[in-house]
Amino acid sequence: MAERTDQPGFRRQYDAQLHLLDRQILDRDGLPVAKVDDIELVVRADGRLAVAALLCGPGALGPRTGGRLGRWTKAIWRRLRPDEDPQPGRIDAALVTGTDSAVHVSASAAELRLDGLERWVRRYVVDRIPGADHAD
Amino acid sequence: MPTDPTVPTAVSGAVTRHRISALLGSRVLLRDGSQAGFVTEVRLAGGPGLQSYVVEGLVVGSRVQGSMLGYDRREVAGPWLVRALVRLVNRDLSYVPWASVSRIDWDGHVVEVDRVGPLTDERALR
Repeated sequence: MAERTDQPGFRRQYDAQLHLLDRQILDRDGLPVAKVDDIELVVRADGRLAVAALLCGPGALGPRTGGRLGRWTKAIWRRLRPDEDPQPGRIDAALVTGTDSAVHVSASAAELRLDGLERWVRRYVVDRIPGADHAD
Repeated sequence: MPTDPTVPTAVSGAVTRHRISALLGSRVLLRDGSQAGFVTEVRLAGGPGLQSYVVEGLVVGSRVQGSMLGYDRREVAGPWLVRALVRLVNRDLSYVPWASVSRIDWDGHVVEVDRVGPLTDERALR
């Protein structure tokens, strides 16, 4: 990976759709992890809504997309998940180290164990196609 | 500032959690029941650290709309025709500071506000 010359920081303000949603998340080594499919807010004791986490994968994208496509996305994702009540991939907001054109986090992709859409499609769709193991 | 403008939709222990997508596209109603528009953007401010950012206010438009491709920002240059069209489409944006949010119905996708003000910062259309 090329050495970074300018470190990502935090903006004074974020417009959630413009600056965060659908942005690529990069791990501490600069490797792609997932996209920001939704943002979890938590109600603080003072009633303010604070950013708690970035949500990733079909479990987050489906409800956000809405409509029939969104319902199907979530339904298929739930069907293929082994857990009874699967939750979308979640990156705690405290792990975010800064933003530029991407969102940077301090953990590695392996540590995050996320279920990003691309990773999910590869695991449950592409890898199950006969001959997929020859792709490498 | 409202004490608790939220209606819980997900409670984990003592913590109530929501998704920002549930706010985007919500109808914005004034106290008299008249419709002010739809939430087109959620503005966050605070720090340091993303976990310290809070919802500072809501950008409200007359219709549900997606990204404005950055053309609503002054520093974005581009074909003047595209910029002009985006400005035309978004000429009616307004802003609701958090202090003016009186209630959020997360399941019904409705935000009740005391007032809607002009959008006066860099996102305003000039």
